[in-house]
Amino acid sequence: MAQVVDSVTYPVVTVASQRIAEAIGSSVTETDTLLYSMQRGRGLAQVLETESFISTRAYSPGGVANFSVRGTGSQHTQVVWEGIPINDPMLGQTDLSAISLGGIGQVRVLYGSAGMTNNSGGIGGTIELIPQEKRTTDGFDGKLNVYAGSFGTYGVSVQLRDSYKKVFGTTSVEYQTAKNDFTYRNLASIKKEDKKLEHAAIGRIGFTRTMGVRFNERNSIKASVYYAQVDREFAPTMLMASTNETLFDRDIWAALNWNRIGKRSKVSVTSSYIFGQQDFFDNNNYIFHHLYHANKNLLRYELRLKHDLHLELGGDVFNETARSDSAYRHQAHWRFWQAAFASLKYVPKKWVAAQVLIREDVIDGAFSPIQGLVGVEVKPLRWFYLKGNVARNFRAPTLNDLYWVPGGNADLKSETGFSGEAGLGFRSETERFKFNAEATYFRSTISNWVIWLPIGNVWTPQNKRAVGISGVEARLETTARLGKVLIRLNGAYTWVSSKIIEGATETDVSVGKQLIYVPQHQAKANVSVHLGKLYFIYVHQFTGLRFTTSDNKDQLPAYQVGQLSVGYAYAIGKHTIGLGFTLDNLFNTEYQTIAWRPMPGRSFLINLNYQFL
Amino acid sequence: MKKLYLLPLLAVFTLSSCKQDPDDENPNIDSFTNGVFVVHEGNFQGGNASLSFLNKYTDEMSNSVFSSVNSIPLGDVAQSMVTIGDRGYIVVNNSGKIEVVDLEDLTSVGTITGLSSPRYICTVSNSTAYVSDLFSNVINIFNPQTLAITGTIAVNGQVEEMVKTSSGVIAAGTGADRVYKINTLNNTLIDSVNVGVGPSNLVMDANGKVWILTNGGWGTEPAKLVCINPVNMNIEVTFNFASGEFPSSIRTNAAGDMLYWVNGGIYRMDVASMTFPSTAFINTAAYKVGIDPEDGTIYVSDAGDFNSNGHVYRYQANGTAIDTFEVGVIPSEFCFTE
Repeated sequence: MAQVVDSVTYPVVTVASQRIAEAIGSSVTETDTLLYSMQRGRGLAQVLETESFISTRAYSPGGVANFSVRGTGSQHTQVVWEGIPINDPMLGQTDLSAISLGGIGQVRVLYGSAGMTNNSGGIGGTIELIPQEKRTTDGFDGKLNVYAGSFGTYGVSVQLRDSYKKVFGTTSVEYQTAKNDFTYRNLASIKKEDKKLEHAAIGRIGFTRTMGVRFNERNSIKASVYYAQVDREFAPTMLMASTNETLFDRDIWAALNWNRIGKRSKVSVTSSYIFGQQDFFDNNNYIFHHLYHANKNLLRYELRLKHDLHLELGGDVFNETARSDSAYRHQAHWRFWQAAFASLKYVPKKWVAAQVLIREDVIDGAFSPIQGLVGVEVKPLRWFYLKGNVARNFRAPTLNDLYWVPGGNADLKSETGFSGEAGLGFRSETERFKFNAEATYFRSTISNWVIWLPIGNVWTPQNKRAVGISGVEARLETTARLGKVLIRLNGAYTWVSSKIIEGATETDVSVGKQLIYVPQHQAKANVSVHLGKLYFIYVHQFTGLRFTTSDNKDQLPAYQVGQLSVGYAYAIGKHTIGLGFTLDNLFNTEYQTIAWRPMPGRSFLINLNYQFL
Repeated sequence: MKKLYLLPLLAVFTLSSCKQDPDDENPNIDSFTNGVFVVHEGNFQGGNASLSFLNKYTDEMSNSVFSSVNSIPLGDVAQSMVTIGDRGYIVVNNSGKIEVVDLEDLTSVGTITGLSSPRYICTVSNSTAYVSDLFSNVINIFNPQTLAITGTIAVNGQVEEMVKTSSGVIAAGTGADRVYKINTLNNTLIDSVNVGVGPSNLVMDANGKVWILTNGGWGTEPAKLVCINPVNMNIEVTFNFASGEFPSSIRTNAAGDMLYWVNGGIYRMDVASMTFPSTAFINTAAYKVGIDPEDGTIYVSDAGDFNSNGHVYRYQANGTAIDTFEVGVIPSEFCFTE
C-alpha cells in the first residue's frame, strides 16, 4: 500500500523500518501473518502463489521454481534481502525454492517499477524478503515449529529473539526434508496407470543470525548473516527414463548496516557479501560447478527539505565475480556496477502526494538507459483513493548472456521497459468491519528482449524481440468481527496479456502470442474463521491455461486447488502451544505447473508449535 | 539442446512444451512406405518429441503421426530414425528408449528400453544393429527382430553417428576425440584415430571414404571436415572451418559423390574435386539437412525459435526451392522410406 493510503505521515526517520520504500503510486502486497506462518514450510513459491499476483511453476514440490510477475519472466524481477539485490548474476534470477524462509518474517511484492527506489532490473517487480522483526523491549522470546506430512515431509524451525539494553539479535534455524514420492497418473502411458514419482527428494538447511547495537537514539549498527543449502534430486518427467541428476545449492549472504537518524535526515550505509554455489551432477555423475560472489555496497541518504518536500539520494557500488567450469571454461568473469539515484517526494496536503525519481546505472563503464519514475496518489475522500505512475526501467544482460562459451554475446544490449499503471481503491474501517478493495490497470513494453537462438549452430543471446504487456490486478480484503467470531475474506484476481509484439525473425510465428507459462487468468481467495483459540482457513487457487509453445499451439489446462486448515492455540501465561492440521489439494486435482511434471494429489501436514514470550 | 546447457540456461530451460493429448488429427495414411519421416526433437524435458510423415505421392505432410496412431506421446527428445526391413526404429534420447513401429501402419511393434541416453542406430545386419549413447560408455548391440539387447561394445565416453563400411563400422567417438573402427564379426573395437576434438557427424562417400565433422570442442580448436580411409584409418584430407563456425549434419546424395552439411545455410562439396566451399549452396535457416536417396531432393529442417512449430523446406538437387511444410517443434533428422 502506498504512502497516502496508509497515512500521509512521512515514511522517513523511523528506526524500525527494514523495508525498502516503494515508489508513490505503485502497488504492493504483503504476506498475511497467519497465512505466511502456515505456508512458509512449503517454501517461497507456495507463499507467493497463495498471497500475491505472482504465478509460479516448479519442476516438483520444492524443485527449481520459476515465476512470472506482471507477465514478465523470472529474470525481470529482483529479489531483495536487507535491501540488497540477491539475484544470481549468472542466471539473472532467483530460484524461489532455494530460499530458506526460517529467518524471514514477511515477504512483500512491489509490482512494476515500485522497487526502483532501491534497485534497477525489476521490470516485473521486486520481491522483498523481510527478516523477522527485532524485539523492542528487553527480554528473550522464541518459536519452535515441528511438522510432518505426506510423502516423507518433515521439518523443524526455530526462531529466537533477544534484546538487552542496547544490544538486540535474532536467530533462526530451519531443517526440512521431503521424499516427494507421491503417486500420480502417468498420462504418457497407454493405460494411464498410476506411478510413483521417483528421485524427487529435497533437503534444506537454513540458518540466520542478526546482531545489532543501538548506540543511542540516533545511531545503530546491525550485522546479518544468512546461510542456506538445498540438496535436490531432479525427478524425471512422465516421458523420461529414470534419472540420477541432482542439484546442490548453497547461498551465503552477509550484511553490515549502519543507520543514523537525524531530526530531518537519515543515513544508511550497507556493505554486504553475497555468495552462491551450484553443483549439478548429471547422469554420468559429472559435476558442473558454478560459483559466484559479490560485494555490494549501498548508501542511502534521506532529507526532509521542507515540511512537504522530501529528498532521497542513493548510490550503489557492486563487484560481481562468477566462475564456471562448463559455462565459462574455468574462467572467472567480473562485473563492476555503480548506480546513483535521486528521488523527490512532494506531499503538499494530506490527501495528495507525488514523486519524481531519476536513476542511472553504470556497468563496467557503460551507461545504462536513463531510468525514471513519476508517481501520484490522491485521496479525495476518506474511503477512496486514486494512484498511478509511469516509469522507465532496464535489465542488464546476465553474465551467462555475456560470457557463455561458446555463444556469449559481449555486445548484447540491456532490455528496456516502459511501464505505466493506474489504480483506484476503497477503504473503510470501523471497529467491527474492515474493507479494502483495490484495482490496478498496468501496461508495459519491453524492448531488446533477450532470446537465445542459434547463429550457425551456436546458441547465442540476441536482442531480437519486444514484448507488450497489459493487465489488471484486483483484490479485496475484508474482516468482520461478530461477537467472539472473527471472519476474514480475501480475494485476488489478475488478468495478464503478455505478448510478443516484435518477432525474432520476419517469419517468427510467435508474434501476437502469449508468452509461455504466463496464465492470462489467475484468481485466489481465502476465508478464515477464528473462534477464540480455534481457527479454520480455506484457501482456493485458480490458474488459467498456460501455453507451452511460443506459437501457442500447445497448452496446459487450467486447474483449481483447495487447501483446508484447522488449528488450535492454547496459552498459559507467556507460553503458547498450537496444533495445526492442513489438507492440501483438497479435491485431489490432477494438475501440472510444468508440462509432464506431475504435482501431488491430496496430502496432509500436521504441525505443532510452541511459542514463549 | 545438449544437457550441457541445463543449468546456466534455467530460464531457457523453462521453454519446455507439451501436448497432453495426442493429436486428434487422424493421418489416414494407407502406408508409411515411400515417403519421408521428419523426426522432431521437441524441447529437452518438454516431452513434445514427435514424428511427421510426408507422402511423396500426394505431397501431403501429416504431423504427430506416432501419437495419432498409438495414442501415446512419442517421448522426450527424438534423436534419429532408421528403417530396417519393414520396421522403423525411432531413437528417443531423453526417454532412454527406441520405439519400434510397423511401417505399414505405424503401429507400435515394441519398445527397447533400459538405454541410458541413446543417439544413433547403425544397421549391421538384419539381426544386429548398434546404438550409440551419450553417457553409458558403451555402444549397445541389439537384435532388430527380437528387440533384445544382445551385447555392448565398451568405448570411452560419448559416441554419436556411425556408418557401416566394407571394413567395419566407423563410429564418431565425440567423448574421446577419436573415430573408432569396430569389427562387426565379433563386435569389438579394433582401431581408432584422432581426427580432432569432438568428432560427431560422419558419412561414407562413393569411394568408401568416411567424412567426419568435428565440433572442435565448441571453441577449443577450429571445427574440421576430415576424410579418413576406413581400411587403414589414415587421415587423407582435413579442412579447417573458420573460428566460431560449428558445422553439423553431414550427408551425401545417393551416388555418394556430393557432400552436404549445415553451417548456417546448406553447404555442399564435390567429393571428386574436393574444393572446400566458401559460400553456402543454399542460404536458408537450417537445423539439419537430409538428401532423398531416390532423386537427390534436399530436405532442410528449420526449428525457428526452437519453441514453436518448425518448417521443412524442400529444394531440387540444383538448389531450386520447391515447397515448405509446417511441422512440429524442433524438426531435425529425416528418414526416407522406400
